[in-house]
Amino acid sequence: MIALDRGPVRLVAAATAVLAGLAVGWPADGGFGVLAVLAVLLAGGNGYEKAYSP
Amino acid sequence: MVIWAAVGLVLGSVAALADIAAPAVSVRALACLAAAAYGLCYGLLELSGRAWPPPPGRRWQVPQELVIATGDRRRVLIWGAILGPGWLTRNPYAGFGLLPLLCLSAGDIAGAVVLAALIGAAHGCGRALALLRDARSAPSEPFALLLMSVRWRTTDGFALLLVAGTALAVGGHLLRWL
Repeated sequence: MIALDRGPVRLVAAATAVLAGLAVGWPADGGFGVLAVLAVLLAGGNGYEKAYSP
Repeated sequence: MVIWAAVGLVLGSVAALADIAAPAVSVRALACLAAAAYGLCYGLLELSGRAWPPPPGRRWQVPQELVIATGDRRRVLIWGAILGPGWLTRNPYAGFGLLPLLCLSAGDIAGAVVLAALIGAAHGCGRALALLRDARSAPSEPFALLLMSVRWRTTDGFALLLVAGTALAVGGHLLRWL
């Protein structure tokens, strides 16, 4: 398993996440559909993870 | 869902009015760039583990006496109006603050209302699923809960960076940068 708590690994993973986002958004050609789907997924995840707030 | 749809109506109206007032400026593109900037800043903050600056939002929590030993109707009202939509209570994860910006980047009233309603439904369902999970299992120990919140913060950070990259690509296309 990749140790995401190590600084350099986390930095590479962060850059990969941004690049993946660019790769997902690029074919949309300014369209809003992909961003809307991600917004709904983010909202669902945020509602679920809020249960873990101490 | 209804509360979120109302928020979408307000945000969509603001976008439509801004487009009328300043037709040369694309509100959609600006909202996408703002979402990208927010996602990059808070995504990196959450991944770095820093607590400051805290994500925008309120610090208030629903007092226990409002949900314990009260009637079903009152409990449903509290869940439907306060806990489900998520606007009034404390949320330690920055992902929530990105959602209004994404609604604004819909660019028109109908799109903003539909997206906001879907966001509200997804957020409420997420809260309900977490509640059902908690009801089935034994309560977590405080340290385990803290550890889980750190892991969720990391997940939230990656999600923010992913959405920031997508918003940057969409905003860049709208401004003809790409």
